[in-house]
Amino acid sequence: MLFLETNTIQFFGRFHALIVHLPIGFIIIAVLFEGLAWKKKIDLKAAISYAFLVGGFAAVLAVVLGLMLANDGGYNETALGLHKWTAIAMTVLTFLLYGVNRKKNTQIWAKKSYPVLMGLVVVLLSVAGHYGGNLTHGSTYLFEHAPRPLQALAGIAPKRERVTNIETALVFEDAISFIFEKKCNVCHNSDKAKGDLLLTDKASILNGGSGGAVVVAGAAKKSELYKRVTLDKTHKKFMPTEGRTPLTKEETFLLEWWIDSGLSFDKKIKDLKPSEKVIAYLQSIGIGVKTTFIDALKLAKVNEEDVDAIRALRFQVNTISNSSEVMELSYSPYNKEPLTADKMEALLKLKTHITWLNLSNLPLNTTIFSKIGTFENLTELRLSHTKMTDQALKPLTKLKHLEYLNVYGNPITDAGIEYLQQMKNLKKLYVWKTELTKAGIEKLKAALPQLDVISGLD
Amino acid sequence: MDLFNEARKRKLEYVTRRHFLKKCSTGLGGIALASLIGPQNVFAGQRHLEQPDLGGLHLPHHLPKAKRVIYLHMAGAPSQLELFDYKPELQKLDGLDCPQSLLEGKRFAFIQGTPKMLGPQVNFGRYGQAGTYVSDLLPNFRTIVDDVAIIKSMHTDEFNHAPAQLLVQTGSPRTGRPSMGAWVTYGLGSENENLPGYMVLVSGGKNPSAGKNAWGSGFLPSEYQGVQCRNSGDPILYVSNPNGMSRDIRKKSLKAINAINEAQYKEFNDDETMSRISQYEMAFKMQVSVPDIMDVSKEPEYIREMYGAKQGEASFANNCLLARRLVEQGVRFVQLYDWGWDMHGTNKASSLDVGLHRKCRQIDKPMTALIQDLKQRGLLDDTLVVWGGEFGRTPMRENRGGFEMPFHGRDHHTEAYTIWMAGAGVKGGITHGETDQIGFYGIKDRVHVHDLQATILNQLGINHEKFTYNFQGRNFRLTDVHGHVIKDILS
Repeated sequence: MLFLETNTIQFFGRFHALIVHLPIGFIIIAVLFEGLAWKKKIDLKAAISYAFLVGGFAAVLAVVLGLMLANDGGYNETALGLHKWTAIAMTVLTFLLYGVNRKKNTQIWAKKSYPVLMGLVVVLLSVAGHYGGNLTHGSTYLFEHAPRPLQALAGIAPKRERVTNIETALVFEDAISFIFEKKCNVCHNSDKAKGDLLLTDKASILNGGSGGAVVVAGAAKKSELYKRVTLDKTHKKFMPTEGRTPLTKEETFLLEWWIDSGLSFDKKIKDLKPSEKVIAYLQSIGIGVKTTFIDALKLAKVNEEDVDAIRALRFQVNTISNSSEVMELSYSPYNKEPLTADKMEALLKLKTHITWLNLSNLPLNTTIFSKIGTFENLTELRLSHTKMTDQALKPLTKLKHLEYLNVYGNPITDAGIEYLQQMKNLKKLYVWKTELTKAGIEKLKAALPQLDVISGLD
Repeated sequence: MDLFNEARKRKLEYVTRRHFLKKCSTGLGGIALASLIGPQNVFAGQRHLEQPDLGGLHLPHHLPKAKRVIYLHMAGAPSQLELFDYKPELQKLDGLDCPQSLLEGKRFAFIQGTPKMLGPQVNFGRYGQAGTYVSDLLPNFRTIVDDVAIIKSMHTDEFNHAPAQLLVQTGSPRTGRPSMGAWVTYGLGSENENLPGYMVLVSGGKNPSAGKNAWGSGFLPSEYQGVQCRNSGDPILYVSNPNGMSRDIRKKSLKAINAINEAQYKEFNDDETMSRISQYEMAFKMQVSVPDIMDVSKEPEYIREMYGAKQGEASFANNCLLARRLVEQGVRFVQLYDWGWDMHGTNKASSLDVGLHRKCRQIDKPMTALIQDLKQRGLLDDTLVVWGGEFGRTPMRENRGGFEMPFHGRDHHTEAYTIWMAGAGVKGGITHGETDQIGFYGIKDRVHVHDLQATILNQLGINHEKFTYNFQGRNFRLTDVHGHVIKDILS
């Protein structure tokens, strides 16, 4: 009573996907051999005959298993019907073909009908196979990544380009539908609506499944759809089932937000006044992702020899992350040799790559400061305790992308504000233990409202 | 096979015939290749120490927000109910029997029978722009609530100190795994070649119950273990040369020892020999750098006053100041342990009435100063500060042996406790997670210890799921098979 508590029919039915490839292979090889025999004038009669016979038996097995699988329901009736009847017809014809093949040397009618019959079997095989694929993967699967002209030929309407700008993106089409497409629609599509549920468009979602409505506008916690994806992963009713990738925390949260905010299908995200959390979570599905200057920077690959040469001068230099060529560079004040302008000269080979520079606690001179001004892609610059004067700020105004500047512990006065206020992109400025006055800092803040000036406690 | 024998076996395997043959093929190929590339690149630089071979993968995985970490571990586990998690409802239940439903299936370290509920023993106020609740025991800390993210829904698996500390620090409640600092320095190396990448400071008194395993290197090469500094005398034992030994002679003798070790390494191929060489070299550099950096008298008076640090004292205040000095010099991971937070109520020193007040006075000023000082120097932007214990404390009063205790105390509690984080891309002025009305369970956005570890690695630019080390036939991670980055607290 091994199968008493399990669905025996489904257990065997699932083997359909495995067995189904056998008849395809056998029949195709028989046809190939036939072509080969004709072209090369060799005798493959026995092989062809056996291949058709075995192909026929394999087809019978596949059909039986297929009928068991279909028993579960949830498939598009039209597609399933086509698949089933072409496959059965092909099976019958394959046995016929086997019989005709044996008679074709003795009977003239057999010789004449043989090629026609073979062609018919191949056509039926292709049709049955194609619809079988559609049932498993969905009808759009095959041409999903086809070149556009080919898609047009296959009668597929051009897909709407997904909008990822948070200002213009639509809540359903660009966010929620994207999640369904990624996690749910493998099973809930127009060819294979498991549980009679489709999640492809407004009508189908509101229509619900065999168990009734799946979404209740304004009440995610009462919506079957939301409940099923938030169950314990080991629960029998948890979705997505069959070990498919579950929805992430962010995705379930967005789903909750969408249902709770009234189940909108045509509004823009912006119109729903998303909270900070929603905006943050939307980034995880690619909407409103902010690309920083560093992310957008396209740089040539760093020459390892240049890096080694710079390391030999006792600089510490490293790529900031594995995924980019952007580098950080520093020079330790513990080094016995002082930092000279000549050494700085050697860095110029990497000047576009270096975005984070730290020369703190080193006595620097005017030449070095002017060299720093040539590192055009710098975003973070640390120059605390470097004996920096107001004039030394001047070359730094050339750094158009500078966001972070730390010059604490330097004799900078209000005269330096003239230069600081030219740094339009600056977001953080550290000026503790400088000679900047309160009034000076106020003036700077007025010129650069986005700037956060940290001048020590109180 | 236990860890120790496994490690030994691996070492011995270097001299099997299979390894010899394997080495011949790769070795000869390597030599041929080396001669093509040119001699200077064969053992380029100190690659062994600086950048471990992570299977061709270079860290960090993504753009890091943090370059360094200061972890303030309050060993013994402070009471969240007296410091951050204000529960006025619990006050109403004070003195009533704890309902059985809360006790069923739970294990406590000391509570027996039916304990009584215990309301908050201190007053709270609301501070900062978000009106965050902070205990009156932390008068300085209130001024920096806008810089920190408080996580109230922490939970852990272990209810005893040593395993719980190990779980926080190594990702496993049993010994043998590398600590967080070891993982981080193994992955990212040190920013300063004159100092160890991972330093440990204990504020006098007792070491944490997990012992040195809490900062061990586990199965990672031993050069990545934390270097513990002493509070008095030489910061590290024997860091200064004995009388009659000049720095030159020391240098020469180390050179000779290293040459012998290198010969040894060539023969047996034991990674620990390389670790030994780099440790000798590091120790030589540390003879100069460490006495200098560990000297708080180098700080101006007003900075020492800000932390409450006193020259020559073994205190959390001194350690906070040292932590800042260390990260300033690019030490990757600074681990502080404070002790004596285990307020069971068995005596005055371990009571919520007296002991907790004293402990809070010891940490409030220094930890506040640490955040402020890092901030004014611009270090808080890339230094992650984490404060927390290994678990929380019960909303029930401890009744060891089933009797009323002489002082107010709380037992160990795994289901809910509070930590805070600051700096390096962590949002300031927010509270993450919520506990129920009596602070027993986290009810919203629960954060497991592994989630915290995943988040710390994430801020350092490391994907905790990809950062692995192969040992005992499988890949190990700090977070084992768990952990989700707490994205809600990150900006």
